[in-house]
Amino acid sequence: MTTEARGEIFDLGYQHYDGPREGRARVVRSLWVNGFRTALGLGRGAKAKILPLLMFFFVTAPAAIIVLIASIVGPEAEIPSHAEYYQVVSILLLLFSAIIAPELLIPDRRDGVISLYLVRPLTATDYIVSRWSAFFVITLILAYAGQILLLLGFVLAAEAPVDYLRDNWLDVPRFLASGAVVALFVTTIPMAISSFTVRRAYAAAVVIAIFVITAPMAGILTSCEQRNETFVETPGGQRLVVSSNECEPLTGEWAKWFALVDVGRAPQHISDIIFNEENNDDDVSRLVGDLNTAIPVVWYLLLVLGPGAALYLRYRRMTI
Amino acid sequence: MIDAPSTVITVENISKWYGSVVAVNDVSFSVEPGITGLLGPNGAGKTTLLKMIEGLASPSDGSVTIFGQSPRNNPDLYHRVGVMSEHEAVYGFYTGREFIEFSAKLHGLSAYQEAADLAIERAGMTEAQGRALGTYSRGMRQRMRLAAAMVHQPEVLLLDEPLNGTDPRQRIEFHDLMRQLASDGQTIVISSHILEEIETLADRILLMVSGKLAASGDYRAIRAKLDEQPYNVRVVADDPRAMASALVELDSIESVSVADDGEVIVLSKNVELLQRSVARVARDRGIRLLRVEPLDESLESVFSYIVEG
Repeated sequence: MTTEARGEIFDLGYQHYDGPREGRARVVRSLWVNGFRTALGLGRGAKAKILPLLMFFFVTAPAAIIVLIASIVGPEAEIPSHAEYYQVVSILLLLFSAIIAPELLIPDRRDGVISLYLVRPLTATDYIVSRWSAFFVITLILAYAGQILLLLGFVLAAEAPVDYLRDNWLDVPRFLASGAVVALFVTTIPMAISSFTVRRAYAAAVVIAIFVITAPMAGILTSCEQRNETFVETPGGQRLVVSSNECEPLTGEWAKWFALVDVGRAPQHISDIIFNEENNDDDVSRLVGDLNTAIPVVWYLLLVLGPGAALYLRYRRMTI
Repeated sequence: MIDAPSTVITVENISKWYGSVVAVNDVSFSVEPGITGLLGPNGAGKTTLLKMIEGLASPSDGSVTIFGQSPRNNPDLYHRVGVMSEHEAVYGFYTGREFIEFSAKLHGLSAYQEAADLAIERAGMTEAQGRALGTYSRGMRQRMRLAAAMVHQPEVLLLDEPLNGTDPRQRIEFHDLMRQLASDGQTIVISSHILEEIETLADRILLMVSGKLAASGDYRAIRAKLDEQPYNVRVVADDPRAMASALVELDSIESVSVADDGEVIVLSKNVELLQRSVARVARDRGIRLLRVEPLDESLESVFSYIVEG
């Protein structure tokens, strides 16, 4: 006698999802929102929000202080221009990016969470573009927030606010364009560096080190041998400096090119071009200003597109 | 009338090497609807093979197709495929529900809340869905990850060690769920390094050893083949030579050898009979029996028989 193996499957009453299924745009949007929230610590505990909030405070604080002074002092207040404001805030933005950008990429790779994304209907390129653009929007908001506050300060300080706005309306598209230049720069480089390490501290340190090291390097390479100064002699025989012109750098004509070595200043040079300002505050800006306008633009594009391409290729070729 | 099962996953002469290390070596098989168990000891190449099937890694040689399409760089295919990878990491700050809803959004499901409800219910995690994933036990996290893998109700489920960390009750529930999904016509591949986890679940198993496919087919048929293989048993007695000469007379013995350290190594096809006989022989001959232990109980040893046999 043979017995036949028997079995039965019972219906446990599970239901099926019959709702709509959307395309990749919806998927990318979800990923973008997730990146935006992750960078700001939203949806997480209070601890995760402290650093983004602190950085947000430091980036917008200069503008808030300026507005406060303008509202108290009035038209006599000496308020920095929109271009000058970016000179101050771009360093803070860079610091913000160096600390926050690694948070968006490194934990996903280090903990293997990225495989959760790569087995969904999206590509590695969708992932990195979503992450990059989420962070770009954050840095853009930070850059614009300060400038909008500053504009408010200018208007408050003006004797005739409407006349001020009519005469200076061009500042608005200029600071929008400059803000985009700064945001693009401080987003791309830290994210590219973050894509090559699994330690957030290393990524932040490398980003900061690049800018800390290149600034004094450019300073040394463009240092003056002597300054062309005009003196007057006092009746007592004392020599007083009445004017100081351009210096004569040790490296001669090459100094203009060496001034570009200060990588952190690259977006400021573009900002000066956009605002059509001759920045004579320091030797580096003055020397770069002597170059053909296209050169700092090309240099800036190289500094953004190079790391951008590295970031793209790093993720496109990613194997888990 | 029942249609003949059609091939869903085809793996043809697939190999994967990392420098001089060969992780998967010329493996071919096909998978049909139902439950297929991918078995093998740790380091056998199961995860590497699954990653290639999942499209997360490219084969160094050979090809993989799911529904006739290559899974590599083919995001649209993931609408039909659900993956639970070996990485157990999830965002600890997400609640279970947020995690499943996010997974549903990543599949473009507009009614993501409804989809999450169904997946969470299926995984039996309704009560714990409001808790942060970081507070879950390993077994609970595995079940939520399973819910994330099936939130879009895929036709194919690829599960890498899904039962890691689960308790016996959770395993029974997992078995019920897998059987239900299989009866709905889904194709499920489950990897494991523990035979008992899936021997009663899988319709068919694939045995991987050292990157090679050692056997495939019905579990019982492979088991029967395994039973034809002799097993090593170590016998430790106070008089090993007398013990060896007594054992060699038994029918269940293939061969007997005495090692330099005095241990008797017995090769037998019927270990159960040997275990009963050896005690009787020792008693009859007045030999003091110190230890009897099979040397081949581990899964690795079972697989090595398949490979070397």
